[in-house]
Amino acid sequence: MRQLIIENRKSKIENQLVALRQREHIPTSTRRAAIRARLMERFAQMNLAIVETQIGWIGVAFSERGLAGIQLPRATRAQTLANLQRDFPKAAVVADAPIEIARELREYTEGRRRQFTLPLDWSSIRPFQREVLRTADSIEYGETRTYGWIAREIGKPRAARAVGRALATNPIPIILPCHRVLGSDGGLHGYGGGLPLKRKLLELEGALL
Amino acid sequence: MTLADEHALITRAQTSVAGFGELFDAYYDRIYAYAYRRIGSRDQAEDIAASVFEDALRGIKRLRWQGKPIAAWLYRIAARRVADFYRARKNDVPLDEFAHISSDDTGDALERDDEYAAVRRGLRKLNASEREIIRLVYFDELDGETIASLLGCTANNVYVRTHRALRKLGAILCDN
Repeated sequence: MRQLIIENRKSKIENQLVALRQREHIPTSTRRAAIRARLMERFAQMNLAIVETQIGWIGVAFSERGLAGIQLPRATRAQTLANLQRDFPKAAVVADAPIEIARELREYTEGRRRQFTLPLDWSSIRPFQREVLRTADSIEYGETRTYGWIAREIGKPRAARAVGRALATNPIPIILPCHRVLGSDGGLHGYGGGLPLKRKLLELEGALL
Repeated sequence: MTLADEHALITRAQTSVAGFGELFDAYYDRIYAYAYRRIGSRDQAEDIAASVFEDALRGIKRLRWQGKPIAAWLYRIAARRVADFYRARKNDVPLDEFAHISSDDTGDALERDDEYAAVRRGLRKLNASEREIIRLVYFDELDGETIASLLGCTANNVYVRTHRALRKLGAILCDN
């Protein structure tokens, strides 16, 4: 009998809970706008750091969205940083790169990593360049392609020159492997970090003997 | 929001400031209310809600869409933050976990209503996990799947636990 009464009460209790919910009092969050603004600022904030690797001091620019820029090694740490700051004048210089960025770059330069898993911040890359870089990114470790191949892949076979420019201004070299793109004659052609570095990366990957 | 809408929202939140703003706008109030219901202090609830979205900001780029509501992910972070809060103050006086439905000084009609007052008292007599399931279902108004993912159990188990908690609450009220 008691059981029956309890069961009957159940739906009544459910109704009472719903009624309580409708009348609960939760004060308005007065800091909501400030919290939102701070998050938005942090989302967009660009940070710079230097990572020491086998091939030298690599500069990295990153936001909450991911890696936005790589500065290939210059002669000194200070020079790498100065170049990076020229590309990202408003960014804040921080002591350390996020652990995963540093780790993947080091592993790659030591020949222990063939693929990157780092999230990238594409926000400052224009659509055409994005298309070119995504296609370059499809070239496997240890392989090379030509500028003309990329032009054909993106459905603009006559745009090899524009492809060359898009690759030359690749903001995230190494990670987006523009070094795997060669001239149609098989020559190294050009590289932002200098041809010796391009050769070194391709040798590291086993693409050049 | 359909699951396809959610997927699109996550993608926007991963790639643009505006998208993350949308995610914030869609969930901040609910996460804040979740924290407030468990802590009863606006300041603390705001701190927790802010830290949930800071975690979300760091974590969203790694978030792999698995066809589950994003709410489950956000509430899971919130649940951890609430647990941290209680761990940090475990030697302090216990908080009134039902402050949000307690009477206030304005002489709420609810307070004069014995029936509702009895339900509130009954809720306080439930054990912690029974109280929590009632809060998740009837106050946070989360769906079974989200609660299941939050508690690490099946949706059916959520139903069973809710049923049991309600029965116990019924028994408590019956005894009174």
